[in-house]
Amino acid sequence: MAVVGKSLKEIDPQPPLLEPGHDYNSLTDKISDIVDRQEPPRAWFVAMGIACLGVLILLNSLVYLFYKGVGIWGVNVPVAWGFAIINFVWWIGIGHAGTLISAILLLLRQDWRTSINRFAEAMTLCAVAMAGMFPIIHMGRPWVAYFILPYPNTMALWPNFRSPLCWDVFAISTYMTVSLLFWYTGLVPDFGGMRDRAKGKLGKIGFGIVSLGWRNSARHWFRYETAYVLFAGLSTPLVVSVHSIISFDFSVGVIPGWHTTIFPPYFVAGAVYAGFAMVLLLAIPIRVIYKIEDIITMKHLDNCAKVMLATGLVVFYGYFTEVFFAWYSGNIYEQYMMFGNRWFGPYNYSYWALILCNGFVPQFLWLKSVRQSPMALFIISIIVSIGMWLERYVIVVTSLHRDFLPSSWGTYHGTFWDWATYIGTLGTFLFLFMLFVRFIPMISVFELKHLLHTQQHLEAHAKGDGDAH
Amino acid sequence: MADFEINDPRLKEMQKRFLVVGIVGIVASLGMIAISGTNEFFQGYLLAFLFWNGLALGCMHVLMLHHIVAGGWGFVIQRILEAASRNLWWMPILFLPMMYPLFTGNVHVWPWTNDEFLAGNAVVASKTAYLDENFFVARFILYYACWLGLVYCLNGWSKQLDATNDQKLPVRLRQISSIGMVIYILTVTFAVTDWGMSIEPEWFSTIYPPIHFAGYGLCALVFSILMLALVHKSRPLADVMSMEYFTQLGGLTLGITIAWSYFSFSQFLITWSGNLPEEIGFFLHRTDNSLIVWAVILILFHFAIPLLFLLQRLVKNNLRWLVMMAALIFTMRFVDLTYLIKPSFIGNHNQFPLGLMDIFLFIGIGGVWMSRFFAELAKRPLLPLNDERMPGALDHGLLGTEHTPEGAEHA
Amino acid sequence: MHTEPDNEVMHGWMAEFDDPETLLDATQKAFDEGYRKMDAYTPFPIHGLNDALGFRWNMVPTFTLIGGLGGAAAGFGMQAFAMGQHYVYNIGGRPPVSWPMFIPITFECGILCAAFSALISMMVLNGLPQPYHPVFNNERFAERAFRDGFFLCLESKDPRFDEGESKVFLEGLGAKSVTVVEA
Repeated sequence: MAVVGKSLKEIDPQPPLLEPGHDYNSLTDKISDIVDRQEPPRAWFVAMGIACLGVLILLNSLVYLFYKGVGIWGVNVPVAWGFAIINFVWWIGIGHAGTLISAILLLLRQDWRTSINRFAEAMTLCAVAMAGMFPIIHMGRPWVAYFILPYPNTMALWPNFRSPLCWDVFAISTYMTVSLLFWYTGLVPDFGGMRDRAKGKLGKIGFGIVSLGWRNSARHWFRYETAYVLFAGLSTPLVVSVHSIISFDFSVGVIPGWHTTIFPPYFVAGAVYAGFAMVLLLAIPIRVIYKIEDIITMKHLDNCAKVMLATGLVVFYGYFTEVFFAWYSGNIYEQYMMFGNRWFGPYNYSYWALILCNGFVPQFLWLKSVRQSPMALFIISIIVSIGMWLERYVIVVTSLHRDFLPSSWGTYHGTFWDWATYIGTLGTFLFLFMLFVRFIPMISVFELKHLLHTQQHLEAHAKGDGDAH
Repeated sequence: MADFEINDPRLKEMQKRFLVVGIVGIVASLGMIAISGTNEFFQGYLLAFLFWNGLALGCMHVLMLHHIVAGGWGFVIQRILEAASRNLWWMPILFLPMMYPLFTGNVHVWPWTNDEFLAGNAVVASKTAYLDENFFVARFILYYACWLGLVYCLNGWSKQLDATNDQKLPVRLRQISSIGMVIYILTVTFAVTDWGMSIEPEWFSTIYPPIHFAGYGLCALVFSILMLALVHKSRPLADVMSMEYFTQLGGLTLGITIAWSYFSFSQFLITWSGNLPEEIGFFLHRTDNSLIVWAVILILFHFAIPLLFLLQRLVKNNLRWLVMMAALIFTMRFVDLTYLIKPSFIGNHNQFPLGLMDIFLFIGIGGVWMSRFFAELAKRPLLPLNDERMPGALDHGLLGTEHTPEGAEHA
Repeated sequence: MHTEPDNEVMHGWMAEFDDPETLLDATQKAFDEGYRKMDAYTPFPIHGLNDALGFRWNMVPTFTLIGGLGGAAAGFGMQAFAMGQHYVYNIGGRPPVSWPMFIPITFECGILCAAFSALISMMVLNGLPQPYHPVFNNERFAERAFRDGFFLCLESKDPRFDEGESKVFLEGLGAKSVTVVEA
């Protein structure tokens, strides 16, 4: 061997994807026991308590909203899109990381998706459920929400298919449905495993029904894997299209600050960015609470952090191009929106806070020591989540509150009920997620075994190779 | 490493042939000036420059991406990408003829350089803080300083790795690539604004630079598929080569094709639906007068056909099919760039965008470019033999001494 | 422990293997031997096992493609009909059939139908949901199949199947155990 000095592995050591010492059996037990053998840890009850409080806040806000109407919120002309749209975009964005992890990383054959894809997808579903609620409650008369669907009716009316708001209906419902199917497809074999180890009648019947009689047949696996990869291939463009369509809600109009062509990819990157922050916010405590640091390792956190850095840079690039082209455009409205309004206007604090949270703070992720510290990652993820919320706040509020005519300028601030609804959805999200963690295997057992098999194979290979030299 | 034999005489042969092609093209285009005038020459020259400069830039971009992710596909094309990126050394010299229309205020190239045009257009006149000839040249120097610095590091360290087998170098290559990616995106944003967007100086679109990133990257990828198909039977590449790498490159090509389509469609949809006077001109200049046919050609051959074919594993697993797809996309890259650049020139709105002059210049600059590329490709082994990240490097005994008796003495 | 099974109530022989590689090898040998009515069972998908079973090609992608194209066509058709024919109104002077603005919904409809086609064709072709299957009668299978058991089942329906011979054959392939699967 002509190796001069150290090998690459010594210079640049990488943590493993799966800590050594596991076999097929121990993996099965470790993940499944959480659902059907162990008492939930105390932290679960604490989280559930907080979450239930959030659910109550949400229910209260909704009841009052339905009683009084959207007047309880701060929205009014000219800012007719307030918290509801901000929260809608924020939640749907968070959902995107789950699909990205399960779909794109599958297509790219990235092994590190295996340990985190299941709960990331669950996060997607919970987040999309929260997101989907906002446009409906924002309608003013939510009981006729079905008007937005193209259904045969006696008035011979159709929704306006040339409106991005109508595209939203299709995008969000498709996204929710496909995510659910994708998630469920991934769960079927694991439900089979849960069924076969269930002790009680309820578990046997319940898991028996949802496992569809899955029996691990090789022929089934073959079709299953084909379908699963197809799902990934469909979900990848879907997730991009969904957030692009949401960006069209803004960019198809001609409001300065909204009407800009970079919006679709920049929104998608922002969504993935916020989503990975949420994945880290969930993964970091869960791996400690359930003692699964050997399955969700530092390598996973490190990779999530790197994706966050990359997408964060794309988002930052988006802010940068908006500024540069607003200046370059020579268009007074664009220039006023950017500089007179966002930089130095009454809401400039939100713009600069956004730049700080989304632009500068994530630059710490360049440092390996930061990426190796769960605490630092947790804090950065919180800051990024706030930053991404502020981004939507800046886009919605600053662009609307100063119309073309100064006579129609106004201000906007969230009211108590705006905040209560938002906090309520945070709690409800946590509530749904905690239910998932309790009742469904939160890591894909069969994919984990596949990963173990691949790793053993590689190890054997490396060992054999070492002997040969 | 110096005595490593490439043993592929075709590379030298190609170098000579392309040089002849290039000289013929340039001579023909110079002859064409007599017929069609200097305006067409400079327009065609800018188009050809943007294409071949973009290819070199795209190769550098994909090279940096490869150093960051270090997947198997990257190692087999690394030397192709490196050789192409070294062509960037020649590109600033090739740009020099464009200084003539810049400083003579030729309204048919960059209208903002013309004082009369500025006098009649208040919006563009208000942009002269940026659209200024001297500032333009200063930025031009800055771009190439950045790009050539990256080319120098990426190629130099790779060469050093061949020679010394110092495994700190892959880590440094990855680090420079991460930072290089940021530098690349920022500089190319301004560069394409200067060279391409400012041809229609009242128009602006924030997704225009990403359309170029995707286009350049796609062009680089299909170019490397074509070149890999040419050299994949040469050693040491042949020792590790398998169809699997072509399949992966095909998948990547599919991905970037979709990205390009997505960016282009987004720009169209947002501009079309906004229908603002300062923006819509861009599309009005290229959709009337049968020019819409170009858009249809692009939709079919730059999006629909590659999508349908590259989705099939059968196509990606078949070298012949894959090479045909790569050649199609390579051609379409030129068609797309033509459609993006040529109808923007004053006097060219809604005119048939491609003339003989453009083709001669494309071949002329391209011939020289390709000739230099093959000369560069012949200089180094076709694989980064000492990179421990390369899958199969250990398996195939490629690491270290087998091919290099000198290497053993280092150890 | 071994009892002679009654042919009437026998689904086949279930052989258990230690690892995927042995199973893959055994399946290939059984296929070469002429067995066709057989199936392998593994706790996770094993690359190449379907090839060993002589099952190289499935229809799921075809159905997905048909579903996707059909969905997209239906989506576009619905919009073109609604906006261009059934309920025409002018918005911002744009043409009634503004095809660029119909692309997003067309795309979403295509994806939705393709996803349903993928799932439903996978389930239908796999015969799921299936409330009963004899392999679960095998105790060893019921216990290990979803943990660490790698199984090969030669079914009695196969013309090549012979109660005694097939068992010996399986044992010769390196099976950890060969047990009966009652029908």
